[in-house]
Amino acid sequence: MKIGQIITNTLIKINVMIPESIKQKVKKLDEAAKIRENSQKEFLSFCRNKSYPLTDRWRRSLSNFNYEKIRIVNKLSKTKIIKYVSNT
Amino acid sequence: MCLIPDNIQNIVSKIEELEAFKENSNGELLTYCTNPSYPLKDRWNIWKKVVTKSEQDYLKRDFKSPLIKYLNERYIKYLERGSTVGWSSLLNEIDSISERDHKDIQHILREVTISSILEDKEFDFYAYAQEELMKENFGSYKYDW
Repeated sequence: MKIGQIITNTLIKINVMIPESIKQKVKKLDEAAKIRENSQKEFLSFCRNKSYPLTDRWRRSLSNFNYEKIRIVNKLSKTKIIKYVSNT
Repeated sequence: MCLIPDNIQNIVSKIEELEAFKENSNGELLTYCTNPSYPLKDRWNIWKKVVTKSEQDYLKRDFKSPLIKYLNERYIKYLERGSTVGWSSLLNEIDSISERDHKDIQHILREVTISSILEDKEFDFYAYAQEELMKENFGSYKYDW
């Protein structure tokens, strides 16, 4: 690395803040995480309600539930997963 | 058969919209995170918190970074097949490096050390590993062979 570049980088490190566009994105992604977290219970009620078609409940559970929970039981059948999710 | 209730449909649409936003933002966020002109602390926090990382199941993972490769090889030595190896495990592995590893480390870091001495006068092993993890955008993989 050239000396000029080193000095420039050091000066930038001292003064540069997080760019506004990045801050905005992080803020929006934080909100997204909150929305996802806050909607879990509602999804859960929907997924364990047998009056709705299993296909819909299954599809929603896959796309909207905490992925870790699904991964643990990824060898079980669809019905068993819905039961598992209902119990957590 | 009932249709999906509106409140669920709305939340699903909102989450899907935000997921698409997340996917589209990932490139820009990653570019920022790997730009050494910005302070490492900020970049690391953002990478840790919001960047979608590379997560792979059941692979013997090959790393471009010699340091991360070295940390990974140390870490998997005592793991059972199918164990998850995550970025934080590799970062923790730095703590277990001792004087006995000096030769390996010296070899891995030779060029980096020279440039870092020119730039910062001090070499921070932990910070270097953070930079390398962000460059690889490594999340986790499951150990297999």
